[in-house]
Amino acid sequence: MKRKKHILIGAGTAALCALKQIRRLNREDEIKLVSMEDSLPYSPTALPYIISGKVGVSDTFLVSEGFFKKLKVEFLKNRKVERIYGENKEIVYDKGIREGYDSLLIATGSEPVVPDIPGLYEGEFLTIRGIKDAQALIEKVKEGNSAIILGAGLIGMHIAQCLSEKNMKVKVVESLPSILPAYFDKEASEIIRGIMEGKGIECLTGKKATRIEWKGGKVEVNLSEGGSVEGDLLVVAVGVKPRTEIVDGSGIKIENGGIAVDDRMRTSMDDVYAAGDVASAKAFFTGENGLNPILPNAAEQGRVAGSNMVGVDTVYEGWIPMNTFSYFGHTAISVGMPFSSEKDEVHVRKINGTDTYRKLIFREDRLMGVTFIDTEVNAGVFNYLIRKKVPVGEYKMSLLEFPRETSLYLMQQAEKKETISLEE
Amino acid sequence: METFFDTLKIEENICPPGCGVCREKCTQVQRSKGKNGSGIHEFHIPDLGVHMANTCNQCSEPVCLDACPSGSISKDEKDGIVRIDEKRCLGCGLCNLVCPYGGIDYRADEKKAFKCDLCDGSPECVNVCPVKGISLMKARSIVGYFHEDPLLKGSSLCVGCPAETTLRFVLRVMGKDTFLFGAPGCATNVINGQGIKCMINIPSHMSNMTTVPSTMTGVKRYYRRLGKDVKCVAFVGDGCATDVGFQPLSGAAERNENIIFMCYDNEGYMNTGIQRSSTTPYGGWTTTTPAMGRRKGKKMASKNVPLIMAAHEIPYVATAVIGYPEDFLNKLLKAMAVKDGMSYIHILSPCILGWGYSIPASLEVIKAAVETNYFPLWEYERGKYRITYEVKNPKPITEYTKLLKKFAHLEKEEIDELQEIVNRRFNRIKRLTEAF
Ligand SMILES: Cc1cc2nc3c(=O)[nH]c(=O)nc-3n(C[C@H](O)[C@H](O)[C@H](O)COP(=O)(O)OP(=O)(O)OC[C@H]3O[C@@H](n4cnc5c(N)ncnc54)[C@H](O)[C@@H]3O)c2cc1C
Ligand code: SF4
Ligand code: SF4
Repeated sequence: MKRKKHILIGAGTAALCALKQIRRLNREDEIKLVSMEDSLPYSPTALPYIISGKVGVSDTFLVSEGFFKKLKVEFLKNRKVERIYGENKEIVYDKGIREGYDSLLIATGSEPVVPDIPGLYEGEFLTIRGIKDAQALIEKVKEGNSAIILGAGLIGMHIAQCLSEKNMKVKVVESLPSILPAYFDKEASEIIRGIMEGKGIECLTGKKATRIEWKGGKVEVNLSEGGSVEGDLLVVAVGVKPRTEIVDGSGIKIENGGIAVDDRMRTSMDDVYAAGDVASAKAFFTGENGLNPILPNAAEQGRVAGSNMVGVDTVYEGWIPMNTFSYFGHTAISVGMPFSSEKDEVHVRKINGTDTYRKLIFREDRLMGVTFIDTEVNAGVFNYLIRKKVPVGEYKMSLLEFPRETSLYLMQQAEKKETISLEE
Repeated sequence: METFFDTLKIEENICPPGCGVCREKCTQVQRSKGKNGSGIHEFHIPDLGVHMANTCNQCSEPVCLDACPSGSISKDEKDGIVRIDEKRCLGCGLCNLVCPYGGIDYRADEKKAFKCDLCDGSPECVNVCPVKGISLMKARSIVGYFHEDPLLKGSSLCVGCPAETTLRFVLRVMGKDTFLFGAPGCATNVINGQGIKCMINIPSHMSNMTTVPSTMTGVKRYYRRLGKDVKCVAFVGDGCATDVGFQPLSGAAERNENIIFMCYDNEGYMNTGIQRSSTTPYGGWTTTTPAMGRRKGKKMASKNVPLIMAAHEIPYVATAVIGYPEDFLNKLLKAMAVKDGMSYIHILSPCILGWGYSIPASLEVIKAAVETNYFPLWEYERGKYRITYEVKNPKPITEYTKLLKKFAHLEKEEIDELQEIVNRRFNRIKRLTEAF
């Protein structure tokens, strides 16, 4: 059989998982991994921990140099891919160098959204996506100084916590009425907010930044409801968008702002695949394509793309929203649908005198989503129950009272059944 | 690159209520290594009668590893253990979020993830469990003996048939210099293919049912004359071994030819329309022993062929099933080691179609056959009988018959009779192990 050449663009989780999958299934093919950065592969998820000083940059590299040698992979650093010519099966690097491929994976991740706020570009604001961004922020961290963060999503709140742990005064500005609005309902988000504010992080929700003014090393953010906040540095973390500029003009289909893929991670161009943050892929619950830029999805989509790239037909089951957020010794977990619809049965449990909060969303016999605050669980097991559509009918109350025990029990039972009666 | 490694197996829901000995032991072991946590946990939900334990599977392709944003999780290439490098762990909890099997604990207060490290290969929880519910499954001890798989893709046995798995297992252990012999039967499809292509990568020969042992005799002697040690292995059904070709088999045993003869016993002529054979059990339905009105399947008990073969006093005789691969492996190794005479292995191999059960249940059926003593695992080695897998508390025969449509018509009277046959045969073997 002819040796094929696979080129993987991006050196994040999605590309690495595709790479490992290709090698698992095929020992011969040529693999080339291209990164526009000059470090070994790393994950942006580790950046807040680098900022907080918990780990050094080199402690977060996902693989070592030896990894590439062992798997016979060529790792090309410091190389940006500029264009894709799908008809010719060619890519073009910066400086105009061309290279052919047999199959191509686009796993370029996402980039921060920078909102159009008057005055923003007149000073030096920060966004967090790469190692350089983290290092730039570390430079600016100074005890006693104050920081303003635009956006109370997971990244914004995580950075807020890091800076607060560095004894900075932190203010978070969020246009929606609550913090972490994409993953947690009002009640859960209030609990988290309580802890954050207890640690001195000011959460200004329901307020839009209308104008940014920079004067004498300080930054002032004017708010929609009137008033303003002042700080020594400004971090913009209002969201991310797929990094798709390399497909401009290639004819590859874009939808929802990402690269459209089918359930094999194939783009609209033959032999071009996409995975991770950059892809607009099938959602588990609706079956429709959409974005869900989280690490577990990047890993799964990378694996599926890798299999299909070597001709092992593999179907992507669709992404499920999930996240875990740790803050000052507390944990908030959300797996599956964070919000219920009218069709759903919802059970909530709170424990007096603690911050514990549990919410389970069921649709008939099936679990659709869970939220846990300060509840010790094996979160992935809930993902299992949701994904495998395990009937949980008579166990609903037990799941609420003993979530960890009951979920493990149901998982073990389902695993056993899976081996016995696949047929029906 | 083989990706089979040792893993802990925990029996389902058998923990004594309130017990947590495994966790206590693990915590103690971990503490001695300066770590805080346990890699195994017990779970009790008294209201539901749930008393169980759970730990990491040491997956061959761990999703926790893929999701770790700091490269802290590794799978050891040598021992297969999935470990967390504590010094690098960020405490982000993503591994806990993606592991479907509850293999990772995440502790927000300590900002650390924790998982089982299999005590680097000899897990201590195994030794302390009061009901012996935890065992270390030694995949490597089997896989270590595997050679390249000689069966090619696309074999045409029925989907899920354990005979294919069995043949594959046998041949992977046999390795190079193996010559396979077959006769008309289900396995012919694997060996010869169905007129399109051959599905086996080693020399093989198809004989008539009545000529397998004599053909093997000739081939073996030919190789011996050439000075080559070639393993001549037969893999034939019960029709050939125990009925049509039984005389030549007995003859080869009497001559003590240096061949390895294996019968995969599916208790009937399955691929010709499910007719009874001499190993069809008492009460078993076949198209020629129907269950209608007063007719309740086969009226006689099966022929106890492995015992008859042992009576030939050849060097080695054994019973085996694919459901107990360690046991099977040992027997294959013993059979292969015999250079001065014949070995015979009798394998129970359920037939999905002819016995009437659903495809994925093959192993369950095989295990039930063993756990009820319907098919005891024993061997006869140069005059000595030995039970190789002792069933601690044999289950009633109904635990086996209930799984199979071929016994669906049996009523109490026939069940009692079948139980009686099972007991009698087991006791006979038991007494032989004591006598010799
Ligand atoms: C601060 C922060 C915190 C986060 N925390 C979490 C969290 O707690 N949980 C969670 O699930 N997710 C989190 N995420 C999201 C998570 O990091 C992403 O979902 C994940 O990294 C996506 O992986 P990927 O492989 O698609 O892209 P990335 O990891 O972004 O990798 C893309 C790579 O492609 C390279 N690249 C881009 N364009 C080119 C080009 N033209 N040529 C060559 N190389 C190129 C980039 O340099 C980059 O290395 C966080 C993200 C950030 C920024
Ligand atoms: S922790 Fe979970 S995913 Fe990781 S190896 Fe163990 S069982 Fe597999
Ligand atoms: S908690 Fe530690 S081991 Fe688990 S994914 Fe995060 S960094 Fe990796």
